[in-house]
Amino acid sequence: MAMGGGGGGNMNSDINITPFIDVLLVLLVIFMLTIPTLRKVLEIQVPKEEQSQSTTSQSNNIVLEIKADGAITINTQPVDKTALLAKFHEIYDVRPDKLLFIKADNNRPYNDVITVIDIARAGGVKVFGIAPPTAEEAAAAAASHS
Amino acid sequence: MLVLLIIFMITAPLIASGFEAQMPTGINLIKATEDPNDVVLGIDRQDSFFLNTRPITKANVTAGLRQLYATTHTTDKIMYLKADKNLKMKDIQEAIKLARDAGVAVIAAIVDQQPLTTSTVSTERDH
Repeated sequence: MAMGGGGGGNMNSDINITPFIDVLLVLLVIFMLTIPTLRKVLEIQVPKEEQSQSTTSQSNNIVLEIKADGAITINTQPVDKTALLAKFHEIYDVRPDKLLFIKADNNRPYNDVITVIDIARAGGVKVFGIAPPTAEEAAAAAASHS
Repeated sequence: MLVLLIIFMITAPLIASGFEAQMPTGINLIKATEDPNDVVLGIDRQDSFFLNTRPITKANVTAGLRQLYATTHTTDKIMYLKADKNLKMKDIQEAIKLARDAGVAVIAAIVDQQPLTTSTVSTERDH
């Protein structure tokens, strides 16, 4: 009788961890499902076909160019990569329209453009446009492709 | 066991589609909530196209996009671009051109947050 009571007492003092693990695994799965529902993006405006000509001819736009060797120029003025953020602040802190056109060489990696957009957002730019290749560049690209 | 089953159910379509791409990383990103109606154009490292995870040929991209925008009831034509970071801009420009032909107004490039960083500017959409 006394032994039986003692055995019962030992069993009750043990914490049963199996349901805990079960609950934790279910929670883990719930978190795994909910996390990817948020995307991180950088938005780029796509010009309409007929607008693309007029926007490139306007001279008061800020156009950033990434050359074939990776050098960066803003309105044809060369800018060092490390000084880019300061330069963006200098331009856009006093400018009402937070618009930047980016023109990248065809052989530069996509990553370069994303990096520039990222820095530009830190520098106060709100709207981004990709400058389409000029007619002769497009023709050259088409010729190399076929 | 059930947990493992669920995990495999989630990963199986990703592996089966053959989409292999590494997203670029950035710091000052915009948060966009995923929606089942979103149009996602994927370009993997071999420059093959995927429209909402289904493989598609380059020639059919514009038609495919048009069809998706016609069936989903979205007013703003946003296309999510999930492209490998090492792709040449030439390929991206081509994809942008195809998207423009389908009437896309905004391209949202999907970018991974650089580990241990938070955005220094607003993460909300500006427009």
